[in-house]
Amino acid sequence: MAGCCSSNEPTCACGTKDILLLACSGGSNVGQIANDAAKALDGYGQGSMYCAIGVGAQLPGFVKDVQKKPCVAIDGCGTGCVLKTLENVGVKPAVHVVVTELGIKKHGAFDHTNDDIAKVVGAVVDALAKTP
Amino acid sequence: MKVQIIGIGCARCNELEKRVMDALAEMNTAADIEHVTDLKRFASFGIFMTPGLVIDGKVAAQGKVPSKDELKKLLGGGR
Repeated sequence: MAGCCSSNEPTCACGTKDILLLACSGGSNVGQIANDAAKALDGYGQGSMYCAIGVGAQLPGFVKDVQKKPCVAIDGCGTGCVLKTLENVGVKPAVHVVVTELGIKKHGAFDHTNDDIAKVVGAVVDALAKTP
Repeated sequence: MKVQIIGIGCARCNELEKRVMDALAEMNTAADIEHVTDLKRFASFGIFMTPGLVIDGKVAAQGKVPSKDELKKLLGGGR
C-alpha cells in the first residue's frame, strides 16, 4: 500500500511499518470491518498489512515473519480466528482487538460505515499506546 | 469554504497544508483551514490513506500530495 510514508516524497517517522497488521476478512460485516480497519492503519503508516491466511496455512516465510515482528491481531468476532492463527505458531500478538467487543453487532451482510472503521482504528491506536 | 488536511503531522501532510495555503493565496480565496491530526477520526472523513484533503466535507484527495495546479482546480470547485 502507498500510505503516508511510503512514497519517494519527503518522509518522516510518522508511524512504524515494523508492526504487522493481521485481520479477519470473514463473511460478515465485522470481518470486513476488521479488514478495512487494517487497511486504513496501513494507509496511515501505522503498520504493514500482513497475510493472516498465509500464517494460517503455516507457510514457513509467513510464520517466520510473524515470529520476528510485533503483531496486531484484529478479529471480527469472538471466534478469534486471527488470534488462534497466531497462537498456533507460538505468537502472542502485541495487541488484540475484537470488533464485536466494540459494540458493533455481527450480521451476514457486508455493509458498514466509515465510523465503524474509525472505531476499530481507534481501539487499535489506544491499545498500541498502552503497549511498552 | 472549509478545507481539512488529514494526517498526523508527517512531512507529506505538512507539505499538503503548505501547498493548499499557497494555492488559496494565489487564488485570493479565503478558507477555514483545519489540520486534523487525530488518526482516530480519519476514517470518519472517508480517508483511508494519508495525507488526505477534505473540502466542504467531501474527500478531494487521499494518499498523495496534489500539485498546486491540481489543488487550485480542487479548491475552485469547492466554492
